[in-house]
Amino acid sequence: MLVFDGLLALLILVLAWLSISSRDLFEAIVMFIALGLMIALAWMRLQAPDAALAEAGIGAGLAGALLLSTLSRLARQTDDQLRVLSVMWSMIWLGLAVGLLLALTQLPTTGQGMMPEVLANIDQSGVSHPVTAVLLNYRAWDTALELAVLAWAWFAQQALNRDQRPVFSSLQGQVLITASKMLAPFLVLVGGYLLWRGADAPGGAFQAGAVLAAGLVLYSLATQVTLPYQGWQGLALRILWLAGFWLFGLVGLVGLGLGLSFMGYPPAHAGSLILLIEVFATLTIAFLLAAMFSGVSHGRPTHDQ
Amino acid sequence: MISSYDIYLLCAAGLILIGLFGLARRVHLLHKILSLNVMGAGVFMLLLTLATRADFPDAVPQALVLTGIVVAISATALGLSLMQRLEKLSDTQRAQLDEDAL
Repeated sequence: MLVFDGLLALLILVLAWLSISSRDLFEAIVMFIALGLMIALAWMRLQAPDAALAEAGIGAGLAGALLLSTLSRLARQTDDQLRVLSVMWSMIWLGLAVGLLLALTQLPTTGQGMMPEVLANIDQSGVSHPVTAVLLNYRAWDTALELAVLAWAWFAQQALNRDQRPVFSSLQGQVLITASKMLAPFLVLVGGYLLWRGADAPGGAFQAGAVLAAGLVLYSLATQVTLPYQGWQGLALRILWLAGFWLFGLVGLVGLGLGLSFMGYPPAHAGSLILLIEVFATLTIAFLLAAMFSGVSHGRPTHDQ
Repeated sequence: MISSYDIYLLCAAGLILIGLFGLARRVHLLHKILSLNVMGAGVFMLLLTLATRADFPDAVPQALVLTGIVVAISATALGLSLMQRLEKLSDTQRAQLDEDAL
């Protein structure tokens, strides 16, 4: 497997270089998507299937879709100028390169990390998969804030480009459209499965959210509809955008009221509480990511500036 | 003897350095956003490689990377919106910073 690892690392570096050095921005984005997929493969080799699932869904899939739809709105799609780097800057870059290599070679090659602590308390965490235990129990605060960051990015995006219309011209051909429509329900099924499996195997809210968001994006591309913003559906959407974050806070306060610390779950109910939070966190992640790609329809004709 | 651990550590350093180079060398803001993402991928690879040192891969860095992937896409989406706004407002219709005007 050493040869495989070497070739994969080489391919990753070449793709990263092609993505950075290409003059055509479309080519750069395509190289970046390929890079995301190869990195997902590398995460598998590094025994991190959770990160690989999220990277394939978000890093390669949704980021690629977002970059391509943004590119289609730009007036100029080439980057043929290069900034001349000063001698000073080149020295700094070289110094960093040498420093980084020296530091990495001097790192201790053994060490247990935090795993003994994680495994020591896993019986009380409510789930048996260590990554899910860290995300939803030990470091739940990080995950709650991450949902807040995601929501904040979406609201800022809305404030900046409110009248932006989604670009729907890209998907062509009856086979592609029909296949996308047929794929959407299966992606919902896969998302639900990943969410449920997260308790004792790789999977969980992040991966399920990424798959659901990909399904929503695919469906909105195929049927040319956007997420509704008006009426009861719009209301439900606006509640779901923040539901994961508020539910985290609510459960945290209940824990505080029961005499545990903030965001401490009673061990007897930890499993069901985590599943409840994960369901809403999945929906929050899915709808926020889908909104970032396809925008929302405001139920009124958008006007050009 | 070189091992897979060394290979991925070197690859992580390479990604960080390539990303930093692109960030400084390229002018278009879309390229700068791509470069930042490449740097981020390097940092994730560093974390995940260091997590494999134990007998059983460390779950804490893996959870950090999962959180990081979602935060990275949030930052990318926000950066892309800022870039489009800048392009619309600039006189030359170019998505680039004033100090990079050549």
